[in-house]
Amino acid sequence: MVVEIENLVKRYGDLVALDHFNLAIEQGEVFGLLGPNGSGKSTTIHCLLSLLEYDKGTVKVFGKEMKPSSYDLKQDIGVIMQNVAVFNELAVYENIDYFCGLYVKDKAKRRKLVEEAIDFVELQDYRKFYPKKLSGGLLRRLNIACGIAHKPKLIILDEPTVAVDPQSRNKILEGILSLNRQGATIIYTSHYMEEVEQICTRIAIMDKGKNVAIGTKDELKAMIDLGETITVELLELTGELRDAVNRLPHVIKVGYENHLLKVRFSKGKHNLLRLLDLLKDYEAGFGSVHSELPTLNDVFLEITGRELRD
Amino acid sequence: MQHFIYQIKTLLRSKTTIFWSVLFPVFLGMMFYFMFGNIKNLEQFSEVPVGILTKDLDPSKETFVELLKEVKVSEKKHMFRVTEYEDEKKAAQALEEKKIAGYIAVGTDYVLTAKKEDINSSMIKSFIDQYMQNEKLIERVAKMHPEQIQNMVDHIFSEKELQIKEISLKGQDKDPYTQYFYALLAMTCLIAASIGVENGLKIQADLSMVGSRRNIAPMKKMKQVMIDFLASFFVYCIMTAFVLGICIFVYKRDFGNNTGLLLLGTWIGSFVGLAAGTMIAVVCKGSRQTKEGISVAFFMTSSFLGGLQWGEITYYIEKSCPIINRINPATLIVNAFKSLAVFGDYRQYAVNMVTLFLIGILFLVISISKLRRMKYASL
Repeated sequence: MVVEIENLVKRYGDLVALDHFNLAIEQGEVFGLLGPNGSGKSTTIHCLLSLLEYDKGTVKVFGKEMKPSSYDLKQDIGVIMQNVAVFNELAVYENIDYFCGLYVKDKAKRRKLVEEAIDFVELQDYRKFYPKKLSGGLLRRLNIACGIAHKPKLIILDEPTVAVDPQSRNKILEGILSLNRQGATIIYTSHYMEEVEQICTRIAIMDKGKNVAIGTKDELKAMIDLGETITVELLELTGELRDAVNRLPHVIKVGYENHLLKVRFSKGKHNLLRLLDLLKDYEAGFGSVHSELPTLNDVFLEITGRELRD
Repeated sequence: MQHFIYQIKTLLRSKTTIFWSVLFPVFLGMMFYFMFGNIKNLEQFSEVPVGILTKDLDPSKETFVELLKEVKVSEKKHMFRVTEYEDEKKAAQALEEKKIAGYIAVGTDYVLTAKKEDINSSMIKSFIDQYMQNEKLIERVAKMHPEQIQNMVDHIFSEKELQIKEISLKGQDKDPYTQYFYALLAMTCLIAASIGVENGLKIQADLSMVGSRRNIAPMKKMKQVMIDFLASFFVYCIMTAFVLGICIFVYKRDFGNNTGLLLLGTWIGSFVGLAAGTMIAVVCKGSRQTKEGISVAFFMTSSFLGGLQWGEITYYIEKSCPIINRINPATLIVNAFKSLAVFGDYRQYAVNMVTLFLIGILFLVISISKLRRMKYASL
């Protein structure tokens, strides 16, 4: 196991930020911690890094207990924080070199690692730029380079794509997968379910400091009844038609808003066919139709009764 | 070494640091230069004409008249040219005709009448104030050790801001306004507190993101703290040397043969400033802005109490609450420099510097004891 967290409790006064939280992450995983803001993702990371005091529980990294003085363990960990953590007075190259220097003493080796990190985040043209001259996306990439330049075995990314443009976001996600392919175990926290679905091999869903579900994305989706959500562009939904839709097999919920009929079905076959036949029977004029498989948001909704982004 | 160099680069590229540590003191020094530049030349000094009403003069007040006549700015030059008047009307007429800068009526109090507030009337007023504050002491010395009276008056006057010359006992100071430049140097040293605050913020995980990143690195926190401190101290030594150089070569301050000791003093002062800033960052609660505000308040208050804005303040503090003068870093620096320049007193300089150094060590120990904590309650 790369990370083992058992029975972790962290309180801020009366607020329980982590409530007997458990987690086990194996080598080579891209592990996602998914949950809304305030669910305890960052607190978990800070406890894991031994930055935060906690009230109860144990944290092990690479099989050893993680303590503030575990310098041997820290040597193999790279962290990309939610907020950019660089020196404004140092240029891109200097920042990466500075933080890499906290891990690697050998100057020649460090120079090679810094160059590799710059290539990795594609900041070659900006090596002499100061952080203030960089766009938000480039700044995030510098932040990542500072965290991974020393080639850590465990990389923790705490919401690294917040306030990043789509192009930079894709580059960051591709980079994370590339680091994983190079052998690093990844812990990725986010409240963007699409990102977690896209890159994570296993996901833990957190809510109110608890681990409410854990598994691969397919395993998580299999935990819920929802089979698909069908959306139909519909000019008008009469009361009679609504009742008829509700009577269709496997229907869980019917909604109508802005001329869009949204019908949630439990697992079952021919749901779309049945719905369209019904609309024809009632001579309801409809436009575009599309069907969605359940998302992690649906999983979260069914488990907690709230949307991920509530 | 890599961290040492990067810390130096960080400081030298920080506009805030350069402004507060170099530009602000240089600008303030320039103001002093222009303010005091036209009244510093002793060679151009002429005695201040002053009248004194001697009609019905109480014999116990004769010491005052004697001193007024005897006080000197140099071995050959008296401070005042005294004319005695029996009749106040004649004194008033002399004042009207600008033959005298003012006249003094000696009764229970010493009342000065002057037509305008200028340097001459200020000097007379200053003498009266000083005499009144030390009247009993002066009269006692005049009776018991009349041969010491001039030295004592010289000494008392060495504290005054409006005098033309600080009477040098052993030292070589030729300019009373130099004490403002000493206070300026003291302030420059203590501005290092702002760098100390920045260093303190950048090593604590709960106060900065850079602090978080540095706390999870495999380099010991104390090692990082010491590297930051030493690099900052190194940079600040250069900055204070630069400011001292500007005072000597641009503002033409004559610090005598004590430049080396002054430099050493500014370095010890900078050490205290840095340590104080670090302590403010780690001990005081509040946001970054609060801590920065406290550091500015620290060096401005200390400098004010050390005589930056009002040279006489240390004198009044000495009278009312002398402990402040013993522990206030700016006063310790200013008095150490003055003791060298005015009295040639190396012992007092050494005592002040050792006290200053111990204060710095105390600040540093408090800071380190707080910084040693490895985990945070919240981030």
